[in-house]
Amino acid sequence: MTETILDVEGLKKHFPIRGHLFSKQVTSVHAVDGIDFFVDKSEIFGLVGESGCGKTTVLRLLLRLIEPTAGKAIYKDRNIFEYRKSELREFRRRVSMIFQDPYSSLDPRMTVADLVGEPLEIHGMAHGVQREKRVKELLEMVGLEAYHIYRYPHEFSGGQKQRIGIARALASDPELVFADEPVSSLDISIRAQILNLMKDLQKQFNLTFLYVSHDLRTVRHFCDRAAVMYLGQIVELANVMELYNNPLHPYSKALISAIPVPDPEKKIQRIILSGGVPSPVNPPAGCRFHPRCPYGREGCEKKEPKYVEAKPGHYVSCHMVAD
Amino acid sequence: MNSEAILKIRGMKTYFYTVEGVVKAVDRISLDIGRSETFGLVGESGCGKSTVALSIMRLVPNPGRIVGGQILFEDEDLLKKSEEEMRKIRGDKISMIFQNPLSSLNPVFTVGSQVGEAIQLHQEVDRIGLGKKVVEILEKVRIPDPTTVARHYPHEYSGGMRQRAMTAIALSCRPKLLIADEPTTALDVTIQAQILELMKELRKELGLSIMLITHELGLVAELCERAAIMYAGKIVESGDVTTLFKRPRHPYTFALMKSVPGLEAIVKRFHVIKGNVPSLIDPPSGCRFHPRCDYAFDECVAEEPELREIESGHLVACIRSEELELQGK
Repeated sequence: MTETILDVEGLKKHFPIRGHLFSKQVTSVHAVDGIDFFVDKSEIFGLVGESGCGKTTVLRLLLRLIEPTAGKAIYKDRNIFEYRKSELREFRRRVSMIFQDPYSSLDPRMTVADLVGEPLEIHGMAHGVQREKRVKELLEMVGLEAYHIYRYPHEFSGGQKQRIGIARALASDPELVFADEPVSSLDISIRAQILNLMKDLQKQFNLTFLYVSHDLRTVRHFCDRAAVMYLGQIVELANVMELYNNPLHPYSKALISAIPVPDPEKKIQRIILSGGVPSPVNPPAGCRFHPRCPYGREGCEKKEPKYVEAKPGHYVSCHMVAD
Repeated sequence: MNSEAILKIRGMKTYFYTVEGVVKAVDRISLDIGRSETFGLVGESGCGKSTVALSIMRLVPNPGRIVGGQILFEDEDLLKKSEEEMRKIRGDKISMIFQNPLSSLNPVFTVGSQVGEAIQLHQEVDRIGLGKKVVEILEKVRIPDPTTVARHYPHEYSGGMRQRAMTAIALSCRPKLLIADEPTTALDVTIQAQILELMKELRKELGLSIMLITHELGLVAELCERAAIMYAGKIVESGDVTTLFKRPRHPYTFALMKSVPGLEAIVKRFHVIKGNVPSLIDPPSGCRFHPRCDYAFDECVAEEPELREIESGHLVACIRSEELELQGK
């Protein structure tokens, strides 16, 4: 029996928009608008979507960097949004983050020893000689050398920088790792190295990953289960085999068909969506996807579809599937 | 090879003279682009593919200089043209679209006036005629309601629309050659698909020659007829796309293709090219790929391989290309 490590229910985040500095709130950006999902222990869970769909906001909420408008996130029987300060500190030791851009997420004036050692210091896990020993261990774990410890970020290549970012994320011995587009700023040949490294570490330390990406190709091979987000909502969630071979939601279908296939003899039946993603300030009524949906029919613009389990473990919110 | 090539590059060298040393960004490359052909130039960041594009436009920024070779456009050497003559060619006969449309459009002018500017520079038109032409070209790139939207500013456009506007500017004077430098990289997947479709349609309508610069092999497979793979300032392999994908003969091409997993079977581990992209100030001796190559032996370190034709139209720069068994897609 697998253990659920994180259970998110009805999570919402609306950012207020004001007319001008001191005026009342006029309206709000519906960045995350009621999402439910759970992450099992030791699995890699993917969150996919185009820019502006709210996937990064979900991560920021779950790290308590911003406060939610509504909803719960249960981590080990406790709602993280009700944590006291001391609990929050412990939570942030057990949960860590790998950032998208290794160039801007590492302080250029800190040495690797300080960058990777900082979490150890903050959580009182190691000091002085001990800290140095642990940092060296961490560096070797991510495929760098112990002698790199007194170097600065600019002395490393992009891939190596991301390795430092991973070492730092693993320093506090976390259980759950959030990775926000960790490879999208890297070259193809380096991307594979970092993905393999994360997969190895995941196995070695029995980590749980929440992997956020817009790259459907890496999600397909890297994740166990994945959720597709559109305008602040999850439109479909399933294990990757099921999601890619048998997508039910028209948006997932279009996304998957849009992936360029590196085979000149293969003709792809591509679903071209018209227009762009609508503004999350005034999301379309009814099904949010209806203005772009190639299969849209009457009623889609009126009623919001329910998020249902169409098959065991395969959730989708679309009127066509629900009927 | 195509006898009717619109662009022929012969032994071109573009070096950057920096304080740290001479960066050989493009080092003796040759290629041909045929009329109405879509040609892909593929490589990772820093391999020199964008420098090739800027060299063709004669827009290499300081401290870069084109130090050798020929760039023959319709049999005339662009390197012998004066700055005045080059200005007449840029945007008229050869034009370019860039990766990030927002930073290439001027935020303080309307999109319509920016499209118009390109036309005015190269053609004699009055104001009414210009307005008509602008609307016409915006229509061509499938911008809905062009008369109204022409009066809007770039920030009012979405990412996909901005790239369409960029394309409109590039196509405004009916160029013969369009250089597209990572045209879809900054866009979302569904918008990428739209722009891709647009490029396919325009190519057919206008009989354009396109040079597509990208790191995305999927795009090349879908859009191009022929392609060249660049590594560390050199072309390592070129040929028609089917041959390249089915029978790659250079270990780098092969590795690049392997590191992009397909959609069919799930791979347990990603295929890795070991090491990092080398510095172009002091590139590795012999074959520049040898430190990362799984098949390298002593001769690869000592001897620089020449690009040679191993079968009709298929050029490879690897001394072991015949003996290696590389399985394509």
